[in-house]
Amino acid sequence: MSNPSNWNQASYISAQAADARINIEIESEGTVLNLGPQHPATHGTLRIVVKLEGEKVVSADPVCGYMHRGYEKLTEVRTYAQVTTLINRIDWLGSFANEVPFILAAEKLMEVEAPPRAQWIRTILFEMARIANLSVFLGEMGVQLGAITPVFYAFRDREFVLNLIESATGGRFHPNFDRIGGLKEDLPKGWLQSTQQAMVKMRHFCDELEQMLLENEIFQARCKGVGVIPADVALNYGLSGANLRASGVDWDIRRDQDCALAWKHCDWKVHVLDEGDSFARYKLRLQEVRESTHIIDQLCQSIPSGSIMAKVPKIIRVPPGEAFVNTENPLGEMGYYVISKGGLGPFRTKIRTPSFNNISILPWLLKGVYLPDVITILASLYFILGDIDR
Amino acid sequence: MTEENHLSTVSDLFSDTVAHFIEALSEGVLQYESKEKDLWIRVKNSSWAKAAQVAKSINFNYFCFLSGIDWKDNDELGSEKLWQAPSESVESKSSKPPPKLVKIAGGQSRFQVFARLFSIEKKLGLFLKTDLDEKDLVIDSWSHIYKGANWHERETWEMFGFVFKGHSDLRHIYLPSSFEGNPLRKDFSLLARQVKPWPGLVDPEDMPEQPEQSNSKQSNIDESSNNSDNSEQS
Amino acid sequence: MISIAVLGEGYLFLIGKAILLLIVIPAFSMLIGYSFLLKMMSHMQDRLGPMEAGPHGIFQLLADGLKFLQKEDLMPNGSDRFIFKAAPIVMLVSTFLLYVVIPIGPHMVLENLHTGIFYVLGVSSISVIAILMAGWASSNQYSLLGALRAGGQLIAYEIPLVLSVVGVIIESGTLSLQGIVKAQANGNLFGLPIRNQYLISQFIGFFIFLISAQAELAQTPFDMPLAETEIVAGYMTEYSGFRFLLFYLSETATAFALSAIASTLFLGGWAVPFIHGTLAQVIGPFVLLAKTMLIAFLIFWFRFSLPRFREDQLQAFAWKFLIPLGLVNILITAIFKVAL
Repeated sequence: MSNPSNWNQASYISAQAADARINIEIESEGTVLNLGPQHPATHGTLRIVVKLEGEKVVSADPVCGYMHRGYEKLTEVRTYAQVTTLINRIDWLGSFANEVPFILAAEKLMEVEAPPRAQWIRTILFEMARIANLSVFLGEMGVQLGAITPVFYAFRDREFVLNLIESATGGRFHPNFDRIGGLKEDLPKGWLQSTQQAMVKMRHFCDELEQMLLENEIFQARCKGVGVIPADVALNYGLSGANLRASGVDWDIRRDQDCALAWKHCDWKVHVLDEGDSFARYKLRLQEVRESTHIIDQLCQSIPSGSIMAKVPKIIRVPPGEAFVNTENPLGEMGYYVISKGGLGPFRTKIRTPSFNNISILPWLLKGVYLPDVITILASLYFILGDIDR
Repeated sequence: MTEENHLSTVSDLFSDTVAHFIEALSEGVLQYESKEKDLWIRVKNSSWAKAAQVAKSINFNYFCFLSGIDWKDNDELGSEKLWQAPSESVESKSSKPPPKLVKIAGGQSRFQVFARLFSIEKKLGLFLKTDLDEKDLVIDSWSHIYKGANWHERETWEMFGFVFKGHSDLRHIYLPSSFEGNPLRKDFSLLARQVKPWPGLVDPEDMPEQPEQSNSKQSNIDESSNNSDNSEQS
Repeated sequence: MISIAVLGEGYLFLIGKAILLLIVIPAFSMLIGYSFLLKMMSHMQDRLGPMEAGPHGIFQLLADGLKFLQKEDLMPNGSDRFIFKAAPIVMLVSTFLLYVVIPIGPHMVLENLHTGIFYVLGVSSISVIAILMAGWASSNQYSLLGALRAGGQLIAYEIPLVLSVVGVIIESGTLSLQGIVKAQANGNLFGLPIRNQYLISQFIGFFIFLISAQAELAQTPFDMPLAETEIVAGYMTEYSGFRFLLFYLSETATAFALSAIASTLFLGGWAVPFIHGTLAQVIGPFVLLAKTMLIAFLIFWFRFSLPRFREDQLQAFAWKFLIPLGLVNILITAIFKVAL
């Protein structure tokens, strides 16, 4: 394929040596556990080679790529409209949120702006994707810690949001609803009213989980002080989203960066906690779901009327240029660096996914903890495999 | 260009930052440009690690990502070349001026490494770019300055074949360790596309009013995306 | 003491007892499995659970059992085959032996040992040997970790279990389970004719017993040996088909047996205040069943609503809290026994 230069050869040798290092670890004394690629706690195909002394972790080496689909390469052979189908599958629990930054980046290059109604609907669906995503986390964290009941409540109540997403976009999981310059369709009749009703239910769900899990003494004993990430380390590793805010860094892209979406038109609060442990991360995400329901409520009331599509040509050619747009996705900062040469598809797309950075801290964080805490930390960092492997 | 000229191209938000970089790197800073709240700086290959230290010292402490670009236009890719701008003959009706420079903050070689840092305090973004010599794809590692760069450098090494000097653990992250080749280089062709063009671009049937045009791929592409647009809106 | 009279005496009598147990254990296991593991859990989690096999899904467990019987008998490479095969049987035997001494009526008990409670505490810990056998023989790190956790946990929780029972023994003055039931049926509290009084006087013991039984059964706040999100399925990871079924059977059957013992020790067993003679003989088993189901309900209620402890937290809880509490309970009981 390529003619390996000296440096290439050297790098392959170093790769072989590194692989050999893993093999040596497996043969050496102490237990080596392969957490994954198929393990109940990784909810996907992440493999973590954990070396144990008794139950204490000596070293942990995450091995990812079992689900690598090469999206960055594939975007180079797709048109802009086709790319959104792909990137829907990055974070599959909050799919709509993946489309938005890419479309915004393309719009930025084309110097097109979607009409206000489209921005409002985008924001509502974005926040719904956040609720759909984080409610899984809220339940699943319980399962990881042995409480099996919350996850069923989460999946039960998540259905309200998924049904709304389905009735608006036609797809429960992968809406593929966002278009350059606007949206595919307007909202169905009565959707805003049923949305507000569903938000009441979601707030009730948050209260329920707060009583059931957050206030549970065993849950607190398992989470408090486990997996503490100081703010400077979190920034150094590029952690984002709730993982960063739980470490006391007050940064939310929705508030702090200029964005065409409608967050700036509503009154909401960015929650920040200082502890930086697993409990803080859980608590923060719970509050964020609640905050999202308030954002959606306000947007439903203030939604402007008008068209949902700006004037864009039928065949979309994005003028040459580079643009980076990031948004505060359910998992953290997601960004697309789109380079266009004026063709039908992007020349290069760098997809910055939050989970990739979020779990790159694992080797540092897992050192010296007990095996059960590995699970707590993995669950509380909250990654989605499609988001790591792209 | 003189320093004064440079400074005039960036917004006031960044004048301090740029001044810092020029002071610390002097010759190392090649070009810079700002757009909204982001600043692009292209530095010399030899100043790459130094640039990260400077950025960290002036509070660009959030590491966002690091990756590479291959600017090559590969004419042999055939149906893969969707990114290509249409030639003048096809798009003769467009009266727009010819497109401006693609590379923000410029570049000279085929390969570039670029990274984004962010300052939480100032709420400003910083892109650092550097050119790589095609014959000698070596660059200093950031992994001891920004811990998060570790995995990104592994990914970039794997996808582009850039070697990060000083990286302690340069091994495959996504691909199996026996994988050969650098998938994100433009000369790495997708095998499936060589056998069969991407079906999303091929019309199942030709448009009735248009005669069959098997030679002109470009117009085929146009029709197909036109079709898909129609079907989505109906 | 005459045991179940209809079965006759001698050699045939023994075989009859064994057959009875072989029927009783799967039956109770399925009762527990159906009512708690399937239905109660489903309704607590706001779902229906299996509904298709039979009315309200009551044959689901039967179907599951048949499915397990059909499965291939898998054994991991490098496992110790004999021990691997023996472990589920040892586990089942430990359950089997528990049922022998539980009295279900004034004259109904398979074997009324004079040291009944001592025997119960002894045989219930045989299961840990089975778990260690299973964990070691599977040649799997998860299994081994699970087995070691189970070992540590059962040792830690046997002690509070014993201590909690000592209070009852002091108060009743006998080691026989039948004797303990009778002591409660005719008992009094501070001179008042309050029957089945151990729930009040041995409340601390009851509390400790419930927690220790939960740990002994490896149910959720203490299910580290099986913690599926940490070590897949612990010592059961490599088991499938029929052998898994045996483990499953003994898990639920032990839950039932320990609930029955708890209700015998603290809730008065088969006895109902002021009912004696033939009537007690007839309603005794049903009374015990009702009390047992109540305790089993508590066990599974905790299981479905609580998260899991960490291994060190569990050990700390046993050694720093339950054992001192158990000792205090013994002291108080002894003082009252001597004083009153």
